[in-house]
Amino acid sequence: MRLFAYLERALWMCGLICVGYCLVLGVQEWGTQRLAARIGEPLPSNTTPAVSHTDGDVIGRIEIPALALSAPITADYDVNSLHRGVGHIPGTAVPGGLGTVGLAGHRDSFFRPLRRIATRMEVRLIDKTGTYHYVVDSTEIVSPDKVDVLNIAARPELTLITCFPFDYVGAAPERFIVHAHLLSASPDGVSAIH
Amino acid sequence: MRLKTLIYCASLCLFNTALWAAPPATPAADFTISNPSHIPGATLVPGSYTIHVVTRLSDRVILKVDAVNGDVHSTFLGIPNRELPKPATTGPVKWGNPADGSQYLKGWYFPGSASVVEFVYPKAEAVAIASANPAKVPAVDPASEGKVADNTLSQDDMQLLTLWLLSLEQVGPSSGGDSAKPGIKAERYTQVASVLKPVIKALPHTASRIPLVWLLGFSSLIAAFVLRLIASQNRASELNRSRSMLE
Repeated sequence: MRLFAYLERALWMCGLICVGYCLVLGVQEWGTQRLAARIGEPLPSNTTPAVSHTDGDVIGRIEIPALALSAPITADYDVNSLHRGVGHIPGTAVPGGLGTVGLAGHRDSFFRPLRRIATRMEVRLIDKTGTYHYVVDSTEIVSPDKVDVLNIAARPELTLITCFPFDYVGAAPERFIVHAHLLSASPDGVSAIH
Repeated sequence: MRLKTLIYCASLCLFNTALWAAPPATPAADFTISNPSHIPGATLVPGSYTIHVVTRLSDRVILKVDAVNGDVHSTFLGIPNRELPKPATTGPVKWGNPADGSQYLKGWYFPGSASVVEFVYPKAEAVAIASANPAKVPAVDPASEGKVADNTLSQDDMQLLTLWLLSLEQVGPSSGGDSAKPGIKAERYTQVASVLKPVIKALPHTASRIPLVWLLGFSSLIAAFVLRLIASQNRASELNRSRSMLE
């Protein structure tokens, strides 16, 4: 009988710790979402232009309107960064940059909607310089060692990476890749007219 | 007879001034600016400057501009462009239309050179020039290759930077349809195999433990609640039993 009492206490404790951990991560994610949502918004008139909405970790936001996906972009793709948003792979192009932008995200949180992605869908990357538009070209499933999906191509591109299969429990063996290309190197709001 | 021909050819080579007048490998020129002009990464105020080629590579050259008074030292990339018409005189070549109200230098025509050396601008400046001029503007984006984007880029880094051409075009999902609008199209300058180092060794592992942690926590709470129920039922049944024994 006493054993059951100890077991019950242990289960309560384990459950509360786990749920508390998830709630803390949820609050962190909410804070990062709020920070990312302010990126690209016009600054208040009484704010000096040098003051930016970004902090050192959150560099922008990704949006796929057709999938109702909106997530912050963090500067790295370590464990903590991926809990807070979609991770930018250092060494790849910055949003809207000349090169291939590499973004990785959890298949069971931010990048879960990617299972429904299709060609010609629009992907928006928003950072402090403005909004850049990409169009999805293709998807593929590759092994984790196929790093050439991040190589610089003939035109500026975007590569989204998440684990595959989406419903796999544990460390999934493959990667789901989305390839998209940049429409214009000038962000929205920057005139590209003669 | 053969010896005579040989001597004739040798003397011809020795005294032919055209052969000795070939352009130097690293040409240089002095120039004076009367109106503020932009070069990649720097603004030249009216004054005297020198420009010279620091290094020649297979598809690009590294150029340096120094102010005579020592205020400006700017190193940047250029590409020899044989398609550009050679100007009548050597010296600076300017972009036809000013960008954002500023005059940008397009390149430099060195004395005795076979082609104009076209300047390669950082992305933001190249976008501004391409928006104002109907031509392809050479560009680099050091920040997108993990390099610093300021004027301290080393020559080794400059040799590895990917070159791009930016031009004003109708862009959109259908490239010319109703939804197309003016935008800046970017394409790689050449497909010359540069040394492509993979940026990472393996693609990121992107499965989080949160669903498992959440499931574990939720199951633990359910199990604890069930145990509590069982324990309270047991207690109640024991109480009932003891009551009935007392009665």
